[in-house]
Amino acid sequence: MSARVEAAVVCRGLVKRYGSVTAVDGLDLEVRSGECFGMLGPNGAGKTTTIEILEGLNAPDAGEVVVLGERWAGDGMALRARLGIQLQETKYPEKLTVAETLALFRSFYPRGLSVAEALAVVALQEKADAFVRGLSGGQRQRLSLACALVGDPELVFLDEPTTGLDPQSRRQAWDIVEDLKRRGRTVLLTTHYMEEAARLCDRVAIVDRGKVIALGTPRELIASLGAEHVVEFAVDGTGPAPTSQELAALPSVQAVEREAAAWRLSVREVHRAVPALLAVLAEQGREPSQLSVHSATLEDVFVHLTGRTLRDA
Amino acid sequence: MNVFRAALYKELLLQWRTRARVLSVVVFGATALLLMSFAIGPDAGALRLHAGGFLWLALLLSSTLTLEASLEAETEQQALEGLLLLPVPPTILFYAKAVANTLQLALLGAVLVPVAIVLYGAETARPLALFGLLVLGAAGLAAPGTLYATMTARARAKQTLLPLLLFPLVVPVLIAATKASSLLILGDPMRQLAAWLTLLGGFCGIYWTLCGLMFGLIVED
Repeated sequence: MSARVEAAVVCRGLVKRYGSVTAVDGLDLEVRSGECFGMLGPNGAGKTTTIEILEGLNAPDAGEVVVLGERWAGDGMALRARLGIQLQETKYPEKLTVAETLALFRSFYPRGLSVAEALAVVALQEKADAFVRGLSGGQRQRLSLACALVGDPELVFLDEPTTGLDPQSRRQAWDIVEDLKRRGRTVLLTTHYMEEAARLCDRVAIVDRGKVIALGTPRELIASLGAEHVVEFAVDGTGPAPTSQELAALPSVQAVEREAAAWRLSVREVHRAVPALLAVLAEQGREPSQLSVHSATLEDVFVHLTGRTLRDA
Repeated sequence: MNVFRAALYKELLLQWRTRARVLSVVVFGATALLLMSFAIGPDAGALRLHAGGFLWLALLLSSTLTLEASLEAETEQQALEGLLLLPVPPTILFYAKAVANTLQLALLGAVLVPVAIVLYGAETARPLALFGLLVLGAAGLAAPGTLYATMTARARAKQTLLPLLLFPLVVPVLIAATKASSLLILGDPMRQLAAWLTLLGGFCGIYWTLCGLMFGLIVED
């Protein structure tokens, strides 16, 4: 194994343009060795372009990229042998078995896991002799993970590894990533599932419009909201509606955002904010048509930073 | 070499597991031979005279079906892009695929030869030389065919594009292979066979070198 470097990935001032569209706009990133680093952002934020540049698939228009202490130059085969890459969707020959597919991928790497070990990592032993065409979506995704891991990589790129999976398959994929973390591998993960990022990632970069707009541990990012809870409500009927100023003046409320007919309040103490909110609405002769309270999430951080949700961004 | 062996094994394994499709290609080639023999009529001399040309024409038509199918797995989703992520030069994977396609086409040719013997009276006194010629001619079709099948893999009209691109390019191979086949079937009193085989081998060398070099560039694009 090559000498371990402190930062597994460093990129500075990354820029990538497609015609008049700037997909990546001066992006800086540093992924430390042994950490699980998440890139979060809506579709079109520049995550995939950034990942493609880091994987050596795409050349930046400007900026510097260092992966495992090396720069992409020439065919990059030596560096590629140290990486494991799982694309969002990969098609494997339908008429190969799982074990044959893994044996093929294993032959591409100078060192790595045996087929049996790779199968065990993704818990697909019982499917070793099954044809790829007979696998479920979750099993195919695990096979894809196994192919990325069969070379025993130092750095693993996972591009939205659980998109389209059912909850059980998603949890199985999470277990695999957590096992990778335990074995000291560096993981760079892109996702738009906040729960996934909060559970798996040591640090998270929120990317929007080609830039990192927030960086830190999930706990730090959520704490940056200044409030641990989010109260969402809507009112129906006619009559005077509460103003942002009125809502901001409620006890324990840290921030107020409006999204169409719904309001979103970032609050420190729910037991103080909600009764006060209901009282204000009652004074105006209104009742909430919807009222929900949840602990603040990375989604709330994104909304706070951009004014948009990840889904509609 | 391990990578090449593994990739070739995978290609051959996939061909074996899709052998039902190969059967349909054989039927297609045999049908083409049958129709062309009907077009010539019952003149045994004319049939034998043209046997070499019709054999290669049937092989050429059949080749577009097998070549296109060989790239099927790579045409969907991000499989071609995935090749670039592997720590192996795409050229190795190209050669594995091209060798597998050569073997498949040569085998197809070997199956069509008895059909040509029955329909055209295309017996030869040198069957081993004819089989060697089939392998060489199949190689001349397989390298550019594999490359063009990759290029057209994502095109909507790939069934039309592949023959449009491939047929003009392989004309020298077809001419040399047809002429050499005719010499093996009809006899070679002027000792021209070696010259045609050299020409065929030369074109094969050029195609295999250039196509191997270009495959990486095409996958990157």
